[in-house]
Amino acid sequence: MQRTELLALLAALSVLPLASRGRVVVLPIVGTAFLSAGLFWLARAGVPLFRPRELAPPGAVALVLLGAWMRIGLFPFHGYVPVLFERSHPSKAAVAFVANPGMLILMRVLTESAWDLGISGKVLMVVAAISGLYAAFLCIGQSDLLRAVGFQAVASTSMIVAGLCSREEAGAFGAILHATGSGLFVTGLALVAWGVKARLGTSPGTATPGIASAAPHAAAAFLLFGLAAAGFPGTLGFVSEELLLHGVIEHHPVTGTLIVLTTALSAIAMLRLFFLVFYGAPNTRGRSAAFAPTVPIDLFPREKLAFGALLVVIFGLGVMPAPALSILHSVTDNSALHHQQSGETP
Amino acid sequence: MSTHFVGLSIGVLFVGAITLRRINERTNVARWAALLSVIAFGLVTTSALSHLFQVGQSTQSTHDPISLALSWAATLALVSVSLASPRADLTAERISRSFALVALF
Repeated sequence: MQRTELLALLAALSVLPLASRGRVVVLPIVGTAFLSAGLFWLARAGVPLFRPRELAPPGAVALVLLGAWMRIGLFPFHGYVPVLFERSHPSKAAVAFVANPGMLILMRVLTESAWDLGISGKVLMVVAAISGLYAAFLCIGQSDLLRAVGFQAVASTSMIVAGLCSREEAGAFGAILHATGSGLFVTGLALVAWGVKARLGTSPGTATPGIASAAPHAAAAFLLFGLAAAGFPGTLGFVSEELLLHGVIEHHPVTGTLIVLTTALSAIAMLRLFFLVFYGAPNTRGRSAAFAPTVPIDLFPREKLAFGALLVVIFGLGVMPAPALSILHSVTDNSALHHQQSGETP
Repeated sequence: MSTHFVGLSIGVLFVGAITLRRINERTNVARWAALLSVIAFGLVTTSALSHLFQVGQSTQSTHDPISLALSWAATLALVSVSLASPRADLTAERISRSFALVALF
């Protein structure tokens, strides 16, 4: 069995966590089917995944790209992501986001084999950047914390895909790092939101009275994960977004500007939600609504351990990014993208 | 070699899924079983995918960096979900399903 066929088989298996009793998420399953079909087509045509795109059947390339786009959940297929975060179990949404086969395949074909998509690649890059801006804009207007985290996830993945499609070495490098970092801070944000939902019996939103005094550790965790999502200096989000932007903005100023706006809107959205959910919406007298729970609602020790581990990695690699950068440098140094831009023969 | 690793991964998938489904009734056991299974499976699949993508590359490093970075991030995220999820029994069930997806990495 070829490597491409193995990948197709594994991608097909990746729908298992998405299929659960009573509720099936259709869009990513259809996307995964397209992705697997495209990979099988490539394998049957005798064109390995890591060969130049010109050798591959156009239909197979289109299926792989469309499948990856749907599986990742970019505009116009973004609708399932916030719903997944809002209504499904944490593990299901987290797995669908952090271990996304569509993203893995895009990373492979757009960096290592440097599929030259020509004008289509530039269009995909701009659409991905607009998708991120749109998701960040919708995130600001959300009244439900879990749904807002879902839109933040779409904004992050859109920036990653824009960086990959830019065909710039630094952009691709930053995109891979951002994929790693966003998996951590989006999971953290979602877990805090789910924890609060489990305690209150309803999804936290703008109608929730401020709970920061009753759950100070949960509030602090949400703020720190939110800062990482906003690319605050000292976090892994800052390092990855800086690299991504540096790679994109020089040769693609419009896309770079869209990414900057997406980051700014994400920061506004995260801080707005933090203050509204944890400090409450101001009432008519200008004071936040009080909340006096009858039972303790702050984080349990095991939750503190989980969030602490995520935060150590996010802030540790934000302050000292050298270990992550040295591991990932070998990707771009050996990629077809690097050889193309430096004029070397791979 | 990579085929063997992928075969091992898929084997662990089904054994882990069946085991976790059997012990769902005891939530604490389920939580810790989910946690340990995720860590073990993350290690196995990191090797599997690294070897899968390593074939044909010019780099001489032992592991494929993309597989390494993404599988570590995914494993850490799933470990956090195992620890912090409000419903341990559901977490065990969902993570047992997710083994196939983690296998991709």
